[in-house]
Parts: sequence; C-alpha cells; structure tokens
Amino acid sequence: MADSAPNAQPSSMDGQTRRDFLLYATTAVGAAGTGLALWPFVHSMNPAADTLALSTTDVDISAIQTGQAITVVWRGKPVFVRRRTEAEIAAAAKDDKADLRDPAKDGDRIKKPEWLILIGVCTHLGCVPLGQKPADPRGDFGGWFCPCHGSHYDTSGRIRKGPAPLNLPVPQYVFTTDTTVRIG
Amino acid sequence: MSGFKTNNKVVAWVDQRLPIFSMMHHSAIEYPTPRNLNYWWNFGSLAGFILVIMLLTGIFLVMNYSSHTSLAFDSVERIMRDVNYGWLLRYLHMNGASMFFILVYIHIMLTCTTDRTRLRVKSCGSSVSPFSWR
Repeated sequence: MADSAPNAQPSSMDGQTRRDFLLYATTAVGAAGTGLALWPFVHSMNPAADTLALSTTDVDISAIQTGQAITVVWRGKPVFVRRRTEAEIAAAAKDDKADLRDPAKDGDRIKKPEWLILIGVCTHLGCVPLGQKPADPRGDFGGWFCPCHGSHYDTSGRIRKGPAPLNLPVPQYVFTTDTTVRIG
Repeated sequence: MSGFKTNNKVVAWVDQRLPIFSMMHHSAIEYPTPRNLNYWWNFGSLAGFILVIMLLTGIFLVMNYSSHTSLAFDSVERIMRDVNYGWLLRYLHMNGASMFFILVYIHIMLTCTTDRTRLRVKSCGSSVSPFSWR
C-alpha cells in the first residue's frame, strides 16, 4: 500500500470497496463463529439430560377399570388418573353450561373423554382431595371432595362449591400408546 | 488512548462510560509495534486466547462440578453424559491446559532467541524455567 498510495487516483473506489468487503466478510464470519462458540456455553446451562428425565412420568393405565382411579407421583405432586363412566362423562359435558366459578369446557380439559388426568392438589390451600378410592366421599358433584375446607369438584375436576378459587389443573400429557400416558 | 474517534453515537455513549472501544483501538491499532515482528510473535496472543478459553470453560465446568471426595467422580460423569455439551467444555478445558503450556513454553523461548527488550537473558535454561519468571 505504501508505494501505491501516491499514484492512486483519489476518485477510484476500487481499493476502498475491496477493503470494505474484506471488513464486512471478516465481521460476518467472526460474528457467526462467536455465536457458534457461545452456544455450547449457553446450552450447558439448560436442564441436563438426567434432569429432563425426571420431568416426565410414564403411567401404565391398562389395569384401570371404568369408574376406577389411580394416583401417580409426577414432579413430587399427586396426579389423579380417572377412567370415567359414561354417566360421569355425560354429567361433565352437561355442566359446561352450569354456573361455573372457573369456567372451562370439559372438552378442553381432556384428550380422550374416558380419561381425566388432573393434578391432585386442591387450589384452595393445597390439600389432596378425596375421591380416588371407591369408599371416599366424592362431594356433591361426583368428582372430588377436599376434606380440609370442603371444596367440591365435579367429574371434570372443576370447582363447584367451597372455598377453592380454581379448577384442578390439567398437566401436560400425551398418550404414547393406548395403555400408556406420559405426563409432563 | 486519545486517538479513538467515532461517529456512532451508541459506541460513543458506551465508550464515554466504559472506554472499551478506545482500549481495543489502542491495543489493536494504535499501539506501536516493531516492523520486524514475525509469526513467532503470534504465540503471545494465542496464549492469551487460550487463557480466555480456560477461564470460560473453567467457570462453566465448575457450575456442574463438586469437589467433595464422594461426589467428584459422579459429577464428572454427569458432566460428560448428561450436561448439554459438558463433554465439549471438559475436553476444551483438558486440551486447553496442555496447549497453554505448549504455547507458553514456545512464547518464553523467544526470549532466548531474540533481543526484544535489549535485556537478553544470559541463560536460556533459566528463562524457560517457570521459577525464573519475573
């Protein structure tokens, strides 16, 4: 550059644009390389494989008869898996139009009408409602009854009576096979 | 340090509060270097680059490492198998440590073969020994 500078024509943009191109190209490659190098560091702070494995629970539902329910543990919380009878499904669908405290359609709370899957923690103060065992009280609406302060849940897990403000939450789940559910 | 000029207002705003851009300009562009530098001088900045890699990988490894005697092995196994890219961070740190020594020794060797500071070290052996670093 030193010996060409005195003879270079001031109007010529040739060297200018080539230098600009090299600068832009270097910046682009440098930015891409920095991003690629940074990603493993950022991603290493995401949940590790063993942590993610704890976040889901596979449940075998093949042995549950109609009208029965089981309680499984998912992320340290009880989860109700209930195989509803035809009458319970009909009652839940009919009550879509009832005066609900936390309005939700039964169809939005299930993936298969027969199977109702809920997090079994009362939304009032966190007790585990009764209604899983055949001998348990199921409240006025045939779903669950919380013994602590008397919240009644219906056959879709919606709050119908008592102090609880919200419906029993529905966890994320998928039917991996006809007889297996993966919760989480 | 004063030679840095910019028309970019964001750069100027940052630089007035944290003079990182003028520092980079000073050490990468402004700072005078002898014209007879050759490729052997790369080993200094390469060693600095490895140092940054060692600090970064070390900080990110220690997020998942436990030094307790009954936990250390398991935590390293977890880094290698379960932590995302943990194997990469650990291998970078392992090989970076070796590379750091190789680069630093070559870097020190320059003191034996050149007269950069006009204070030529009389004995090459003493300059290579870590106990003679001053």
